[in-house]
Amino acid sequence: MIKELHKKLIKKETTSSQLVKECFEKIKKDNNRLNAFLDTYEEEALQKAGVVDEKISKGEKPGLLEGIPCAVKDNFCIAGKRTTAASKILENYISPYNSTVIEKLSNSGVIFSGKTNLDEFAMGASTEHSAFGVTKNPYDENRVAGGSSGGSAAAVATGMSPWALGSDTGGSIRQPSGFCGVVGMKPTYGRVSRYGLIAMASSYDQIGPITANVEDAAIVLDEICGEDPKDNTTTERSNIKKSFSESLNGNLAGKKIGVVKEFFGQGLDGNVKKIIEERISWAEKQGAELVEVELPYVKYSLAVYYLMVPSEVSSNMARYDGIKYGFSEAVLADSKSKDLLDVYLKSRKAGIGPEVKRRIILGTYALSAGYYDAYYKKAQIVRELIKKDFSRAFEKVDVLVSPTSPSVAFKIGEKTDNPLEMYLADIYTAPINVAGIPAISIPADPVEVEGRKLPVGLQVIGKWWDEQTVLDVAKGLEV
Amino acid sequence: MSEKKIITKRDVEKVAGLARVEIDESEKEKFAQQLSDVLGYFNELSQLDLKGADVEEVKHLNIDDNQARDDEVRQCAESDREKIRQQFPERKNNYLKVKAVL
Repeated sequence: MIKELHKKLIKKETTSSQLVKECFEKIKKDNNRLNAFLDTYEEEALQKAGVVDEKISKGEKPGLLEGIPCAVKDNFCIAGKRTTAASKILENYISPYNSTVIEKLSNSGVIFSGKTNLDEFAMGASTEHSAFGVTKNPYDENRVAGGSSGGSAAAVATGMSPWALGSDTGGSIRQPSGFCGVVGMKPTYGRVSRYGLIAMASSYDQIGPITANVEDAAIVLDEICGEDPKDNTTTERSNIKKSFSESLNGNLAGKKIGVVKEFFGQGLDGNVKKIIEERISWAEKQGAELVEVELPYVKYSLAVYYLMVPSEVSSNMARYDGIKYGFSEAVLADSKSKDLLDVYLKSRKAGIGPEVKRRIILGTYALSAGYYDAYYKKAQIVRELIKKDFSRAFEKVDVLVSPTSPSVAFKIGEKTDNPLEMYLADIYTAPINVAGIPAISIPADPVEVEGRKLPVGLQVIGKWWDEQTVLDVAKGLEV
Repeated sequence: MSEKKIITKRDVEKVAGLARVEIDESEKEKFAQQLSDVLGYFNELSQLDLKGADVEEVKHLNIDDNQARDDEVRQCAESDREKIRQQFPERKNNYLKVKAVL
């Protein structure tokens, strides 16, 4: 889609202003019913589009992403813009600076159309934990768009935006992409700088694209990846030698595809299983070699994930204390805060939602004396064992495939009272972040549920720093 | 859901206090049950025998080299300072205003 739009811009078959107008027409039509965007920047977007159009009319060639709109998950800092992370505690926070990814894209001439909805501080798998309302699934409004990047996925699925930015800590790009029938990629941990992304769990968080197809994901990844002195997990290795999009090759012949035994077991919806297995058999017909792979420690991934992530959350959330920025109970006319401690307690009580509170408490508990050695330290060891499972698998295969999620998009309200049920929605995506490897979700064929066709996501997983093979196989498997 | 609570209402109170979050009375009971379910799920980890596992715990994922800079003071433009100050919930002139500590 991005290349087509780019060609149209060059051939003057459309203008950047026209692209922006079309997006805003769709936003006006669909956003009220879906709640994908929290803020939009129509005037500014049109103004920037005008500048690009003028450049093109003078005969200058635009860059590949230049003049094309992009929606941004509202946990990325954009200078001068409200950055809420879908939390009351940041409802009126204006970021003083740009995140690195926004800075890069801005320099490439990308036009930001607005900020999209998410679960509060990206904690959730449905956007139901947003302080500003749930994002509905474009295919069935009684169902969730997935999460936490639900707003971005719904925006791309409906054409409100040609592509969007998301962040993925345990599946937050891939799962909503699967639920909304679009492509979502989580690169290798350390590939993209997280500077200016509101931190959730720093040893898991990664930024990636949500796009209409695999080629677009490669184009965006080319632009956003690379070393950044402001994120210590990025190094020279984060830079690319060859463009992912220019090297993209969807030929499946000779590719060794590992089918993860543990990802097709109990808990997987029968319809989803069938669709994914059909697509895998199809790959075999295209010349791919299928290899069954066992990952014995992977079944502990969710336990490791939901122990370590809240622990990191409890420390990352400590900064929201009503003192330096964001909501403070102390400034209310009827404030009950008498001293500094009261300001902390009451600002956090009123400003932070229940899921984030649960994770803060869980994490603080997991790190407390007596519990740390029994659980946290053990989780770190198991994390290493899970990594080893994956590296052994990648000695035999080029990629692994699995469903993205154990079911299609679930109904709104179905899991909100049962956090453990909600956590199980990440069962095939969280292990990827535990290991720090790259993975993409692409739409497989839809399934019919209660008279509606609902998207199913297929996940392609690759080894550390080998996004190219992930993208190549995904391209080959794309419907 | 298991009825047996691994984490009690009193534990929730205590930990929430340590984490500087005030929670409603009605939420304490609910959290105790929900967090007990989650902690129950972690039991599979505590029961795992790792004596034979010859690995170190993960400390830094994917990092064997590190992006670091010299520990030196860098200047910040006055305009940037002001943007940051504008986010203070309470300020007096160029200072952040806070309630009494004690």
